Amino acid sequence: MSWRNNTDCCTWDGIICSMDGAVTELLLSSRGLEGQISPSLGELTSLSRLNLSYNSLSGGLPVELMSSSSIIVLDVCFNRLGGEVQELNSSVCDWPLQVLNISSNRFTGDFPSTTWEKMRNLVVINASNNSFTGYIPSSFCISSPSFTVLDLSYNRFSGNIPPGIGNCSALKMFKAGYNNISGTLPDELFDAISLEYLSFPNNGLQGRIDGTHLIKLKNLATLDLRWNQLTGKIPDSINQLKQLEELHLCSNMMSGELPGKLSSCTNLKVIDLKHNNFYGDLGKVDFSALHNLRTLDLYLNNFTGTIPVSIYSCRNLKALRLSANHLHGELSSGIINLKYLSFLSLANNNFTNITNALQVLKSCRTMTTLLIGRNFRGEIMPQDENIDGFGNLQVLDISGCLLSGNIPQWISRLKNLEMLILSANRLTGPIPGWINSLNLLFFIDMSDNRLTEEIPINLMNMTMLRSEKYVTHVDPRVFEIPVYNGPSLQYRALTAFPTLLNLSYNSFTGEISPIIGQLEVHVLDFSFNNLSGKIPQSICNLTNLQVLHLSNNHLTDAIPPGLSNLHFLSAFNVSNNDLEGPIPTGGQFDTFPDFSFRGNPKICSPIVARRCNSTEEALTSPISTKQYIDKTVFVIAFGVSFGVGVVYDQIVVSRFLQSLRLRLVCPLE
Amino acid sequence: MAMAKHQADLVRCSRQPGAAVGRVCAAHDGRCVACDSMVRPAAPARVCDGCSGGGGGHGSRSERCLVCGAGAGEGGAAAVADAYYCRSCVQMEKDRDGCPAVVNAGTARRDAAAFFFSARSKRGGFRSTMA
Repeated sequence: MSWRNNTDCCTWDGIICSMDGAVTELLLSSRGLEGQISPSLGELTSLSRLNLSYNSLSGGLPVELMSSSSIIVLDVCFNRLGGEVQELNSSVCDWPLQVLNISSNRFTGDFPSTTWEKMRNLVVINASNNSFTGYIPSSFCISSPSFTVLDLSYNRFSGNIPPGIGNCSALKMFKAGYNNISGTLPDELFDAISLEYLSFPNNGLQGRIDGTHLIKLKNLATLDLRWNQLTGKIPDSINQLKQLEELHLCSNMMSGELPGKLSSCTNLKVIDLKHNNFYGDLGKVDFSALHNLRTLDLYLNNFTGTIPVSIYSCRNLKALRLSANHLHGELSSGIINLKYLSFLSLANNNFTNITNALQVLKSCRTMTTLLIGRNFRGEIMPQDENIDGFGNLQVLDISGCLLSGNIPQWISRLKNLEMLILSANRLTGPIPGWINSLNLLFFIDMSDNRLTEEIPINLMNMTMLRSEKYVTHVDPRVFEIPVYNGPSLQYRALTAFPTLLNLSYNSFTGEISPIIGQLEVHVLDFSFNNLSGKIPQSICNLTNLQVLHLSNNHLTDAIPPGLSNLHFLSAFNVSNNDLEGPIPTGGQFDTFPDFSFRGNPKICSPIVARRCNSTEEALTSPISTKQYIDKTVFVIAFGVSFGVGVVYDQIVVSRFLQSLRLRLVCPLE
Repeated sequence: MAMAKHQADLVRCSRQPGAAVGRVCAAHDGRCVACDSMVRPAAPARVCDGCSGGGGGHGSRSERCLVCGAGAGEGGAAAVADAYYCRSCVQMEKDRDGCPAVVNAGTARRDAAAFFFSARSKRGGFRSTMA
């Protein structure tokens, strides 16, 4: 029932009362509320649960709520509350508060410390996603024996992890990631033996993980210390963490070999050790015992040897990334035992025999992402007609392998393919005509090859290159684990990639077809080819174009003036061609540097220090002519208006003088 | 915002900017903090008091790269230059979207940025293999 005056408030929506008519719960989550929280709520003597989360409340958190003698659960998360959370100064030392959730607000200042000493019943504190500074307190560990959850992530805490946390005997979850915490993991931290979830990602932690203390956490399920500066090795004693499910140690400076006893952690689901300095032979770990393993990520390490056959016994494995290591050998047919494998990345290793690899991988029916670039160096691209699997493949990257041969026919059978990366090989011949049969393909990178002949018309008829990918909005196609396109760019979903057609660094000839105007790509790169003819006017129809590179070709005629209407164009390069005429002005063209136009002797513009003369300007620049006409019309109109104004002024002045003369004559009469 | 397309879960601070100009590291020097393009810089990128190190923050934060967070928590001066918006972003008023500091860039991106800076290809652009 809605809130109305002169009615029993116990019947109002969101209010719950006790039998004697006292308000006990105020549940107003996600109501679109604005304004400030009234301190008078603290005067409701029977109020035990207050939920104002997911609104747009501003102002501060009233101290009356924190010091209420009745509130047990206080949830104001996801609002716009700010200011500081004041320390309670009352002498009362037995507040009933159990759950405090102030996460995702705009609180600043030091996080309270002495306040928690007065609360003996605390169970949960969630203050994540604010701007708290100062040091992490540990006073609740002494005063609240039932304290279970502490979440301080996404703040600005500094200093060290307080040793006093070890006194929280009931603490199960401790999250303080995305802060500025430094120092080492204190030994006392591991005295909190009930910990199940320990998470400090993206801080400045240093030192080693001490195995003798780590094993005290018998119930530990998640250890998340990624994006820190930890050194040393994974302790051998990790095998005593029988409940461990997720091990996240990526982006540290850890080294050493993987402990062979890691296989004793049979509940492990995620092993994420990417971007460290681990080394050694993976075969020393018996992965076959890790039958719950779903993700194994060893990207950017120094592992050597071959892929151990025991990995193929992890039947629940969905994502396997071994890229950027020093592995060698051939792929084993045992990989077909991985029935749920959807993500496989072996890029940047020393694997050999691509023919065998594809023959083996084609049977992985659930594979959606296959990244095997920078392997198989100098081999021949398989043309085998028997490669007829990959029914669900969406992303295929075989770049950087220096493969020779033609673009193979078997790619035409990858009906669900959305991204095709064949760059940095030595492929020859033309782009095949069947390319437009891949109806979902929106990212085509065939740069840095030796492809020849003309750019096929069929490329201009690609279904997904002509649409704006609205269909995919209903299906984000999230990768099993994030994909890295170079070290700088991380992608979590397929739809985050731009619509791209990159044919640069090849030997294409002929002209750019005017049909290119029907595309809807974000990136178009035809640079470093042998294209001739003019830039078609229709290229100005690519309204979503962000990058246009046509440099180092033999293009002639003028730059289409309509390109200045492409408002999203942020990178443009037509250098080293035979273009002539003026450079378009306005829009994004006012932001491009001069090197975008160098190497065109006939081009004229102040940007390249060669001004166009009037004849050329009149002949080659319709916009310029129009501007001239506009200026002429303006001058004429202004002149006429000025003349009319002057005449009108004269008339007014003349009449005034006549009137004045009449007045002077009257008194004389 | 082109940057957000490259990292779908990128989160900006978006608080009210103050008077301090943000800083960027060597890898992101010369790039627009909003769209990553390298066209001419037009306006300095002003950050909020929290991200600039004022208003209760610590001095070392003033040297934190706005884009990748390099320098955060290290005490070192990873940021080497002022941050700027490019002219097109100024014209499209992206410089008025609040503080542009990235709040969820991890160390991986920080280190990756440095690697990107040093691993540029001879052919004039960084060419990468997906991994």
